[in-house]
Amino acid sequence: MRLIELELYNFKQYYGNQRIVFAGADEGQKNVTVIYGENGRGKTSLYRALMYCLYGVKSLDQDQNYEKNISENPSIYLVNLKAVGEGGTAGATCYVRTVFEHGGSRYDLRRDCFAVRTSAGELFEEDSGFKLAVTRNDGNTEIFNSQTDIAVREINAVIDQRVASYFLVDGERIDRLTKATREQRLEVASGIRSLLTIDNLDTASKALAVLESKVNRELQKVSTGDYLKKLQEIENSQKNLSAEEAKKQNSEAELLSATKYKTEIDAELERFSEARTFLLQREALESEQEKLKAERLQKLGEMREFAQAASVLLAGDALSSLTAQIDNRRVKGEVPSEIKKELLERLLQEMKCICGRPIQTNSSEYAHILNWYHQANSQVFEAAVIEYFHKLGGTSARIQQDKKRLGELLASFASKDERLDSVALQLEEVAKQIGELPDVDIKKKEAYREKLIKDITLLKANIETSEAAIARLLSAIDKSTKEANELAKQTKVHEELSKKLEIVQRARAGLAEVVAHFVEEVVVELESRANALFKGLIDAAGKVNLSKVRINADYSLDVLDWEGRPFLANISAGQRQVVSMCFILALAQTAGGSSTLEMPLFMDTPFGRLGGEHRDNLLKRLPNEVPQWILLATETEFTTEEARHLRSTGKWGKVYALEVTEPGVTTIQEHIAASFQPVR
Amino acid sequence: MSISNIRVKVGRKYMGIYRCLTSDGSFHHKIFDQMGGVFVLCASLGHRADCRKDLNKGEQLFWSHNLTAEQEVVVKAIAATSSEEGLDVLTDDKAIIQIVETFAEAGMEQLIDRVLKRFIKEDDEGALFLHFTQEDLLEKELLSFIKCEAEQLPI
Repeated sequence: MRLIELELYNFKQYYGNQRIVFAGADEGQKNVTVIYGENGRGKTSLYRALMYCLYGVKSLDQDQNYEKNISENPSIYLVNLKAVGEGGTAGATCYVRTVFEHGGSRYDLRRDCFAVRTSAGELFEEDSGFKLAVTRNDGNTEIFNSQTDIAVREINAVIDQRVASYFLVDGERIDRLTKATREQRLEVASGIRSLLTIDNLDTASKALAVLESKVNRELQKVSTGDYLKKLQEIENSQKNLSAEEAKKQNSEAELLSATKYKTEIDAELERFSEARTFLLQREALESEQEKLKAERLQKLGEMREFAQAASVLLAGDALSSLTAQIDNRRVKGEVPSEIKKELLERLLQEMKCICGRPIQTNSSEYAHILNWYHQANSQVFEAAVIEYFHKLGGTSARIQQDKKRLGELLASFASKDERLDSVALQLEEVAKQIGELPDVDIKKKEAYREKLIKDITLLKANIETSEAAIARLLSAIDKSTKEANELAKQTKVHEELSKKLEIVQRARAGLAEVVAHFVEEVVVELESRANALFKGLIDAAGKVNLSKVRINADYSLDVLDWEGRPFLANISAGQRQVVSMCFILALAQTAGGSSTLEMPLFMDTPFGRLGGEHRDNLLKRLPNEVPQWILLATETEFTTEEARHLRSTGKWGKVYALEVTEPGVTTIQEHIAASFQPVR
Repeated sequence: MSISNIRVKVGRKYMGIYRCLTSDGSFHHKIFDQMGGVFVLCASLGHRADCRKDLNKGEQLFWSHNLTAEQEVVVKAIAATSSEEGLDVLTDDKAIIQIVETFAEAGMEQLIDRVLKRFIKEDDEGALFLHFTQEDLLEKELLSFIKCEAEQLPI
């Protein structure tokens, strides 16, 4: 950017139309413009005019409270008060017009402001006009009659408002950059970032951060767990559905089969309906026949068991005969009973009768007893006979019983036989009635038919149950599928969001890395350029004591001493100003990517606290470091000495003196730089 | 006193019959559990007919103590009523058995003649055996015969 002209009309103390044409607009060798005037004459107003024209701002950094609360700083107004007064109720208009060149295009920018004093005496100001005419390389002119976004972008593309303050410098405040305060660090960081448009990267990074946060929030809303569960639910339901359908198919097949069999049996039974009675009768007779045969067989078994006992039944006569013989002998007394041999022995031993009378050995009683004793010895046999006699009685009784039993057994057997014969006869009759029909077990068939009927009923019920289950499952699957589709969308969204988040995070990380590297490189370059300038601008003492300017990682400026130790706190205000200036110039160079930046250095109170050597160095070096140098210097700052030094550079092209012609009115007087003599 | 430890003999010729009647065959069940049953039946038959027959080549068939109590009573009765010793024979188990064996031998001939004839078979050595099946109802035949004979006895 090269400033060509600044035109003021009723702006601040500049009443009427006044203009400044800057040196260096034509890229000629002379690029230094001095605007000379004491404090209060309007040097800062020129700076303000430029800022107002370019950006529409009415406040400067030094007007810190202005934007926040106008009432606290009511004195900031733009329109010349004299003109306002003259305008009366009609008010007055002021404007600032800046003509500058940049990148081969010529910019003619004018911004108007209207002011009127109210009846209450308050001054009311408002912007009243904007016009930007851009004449391109090709000769075409684009005109913006209002401050549209495009117009603003046009201007910011030349010199961004955020960096403008670095090139429109207040010399008295410049050393703040070297204050090791948080604000200073922030300002330096801000400067670096703004000028190098790293803040655009910051904006991008912030945008990515916002996007990441947004994506993350959206991601949290979506859960994939439910989707998988729903899929499993559908799978289970489908398995159950298949099983139920298979079950139903089986039941239907069985039903078909059972129905078919029933139909066959019905047909068969229909065929046999006439013979049914006989068939049933036959079945009954056959059943009885079987039963009778079994019973007969059992009877035969009983007969065989009885045979052993029956073997004695024919000995009845022998038993009777013998019984009679023994009984006869009993009657005759030949077979005494119950006489015990032991009694006779006792009588003979005691020789005493049972009545107690002694027994004489030669008595008849003794002879009888002795005779009986002898007889008793042969009675052993008789005892056996008696015993046998008892057995005879028992056996005879048994024989009688068994004879009866035998009769019953045989009668029972005969009965069975008879009944069997009868059944056989009946079967023959029934068979005749049945005729040629095949041997059919009607009862069995009827029983099977009954079973089939039960089976059919059960199968039908099963089929109904299966159908109901199938319907339920289909409904459940449908519902689950719909839910799954919704969840699938979310899942897809989740996947997509996850991918998106990853991309954003990677982009953010990548961008941060790029920014970090870029900033690192920029800081290195900045430091390098700053030091190059520092060496040229610092005074001799500084060259000895101070080795370099350092830009720390936290963007604080530092100065190292001859041993590389931080020394910022110990340097003078002037040295501090030099350091700051070096930083700003280095910033400009780095941002431009070349040795100089196409930005005019607009310095208000340029020499600030700079001492002789510093000032001399500044005067000597700066014109070569910047495309245009506009100094707004006081009489005290710009003396003949400075004039001489500046003149000696061959860079001094223009000089304007600000003259206060009446209260509140400053007039710009151009002088010839070659011959201009400062007051002091 | 029971008759014990005496081997009861029967004619060799009839051994097969005794065995057939007291053992299960391929087509029939045994009719009598013990040989004694057959023996006593035959002895009763022989005694009733007052027929005795000496054993021709008698073979020992079973032990006397295998007779049931009733069968022993019958055996003794047959012996006592047919022996010249009368009741005194009851003291001689051996004599009892010998007497009854002769009655049994004769009785078997009657049994064969009146019941078993159609079932009798003879082997090459002249020994007799029975051939009958379950359907022949031999047990019924025998019992019917016994019943019929018993009803004729004045008991």
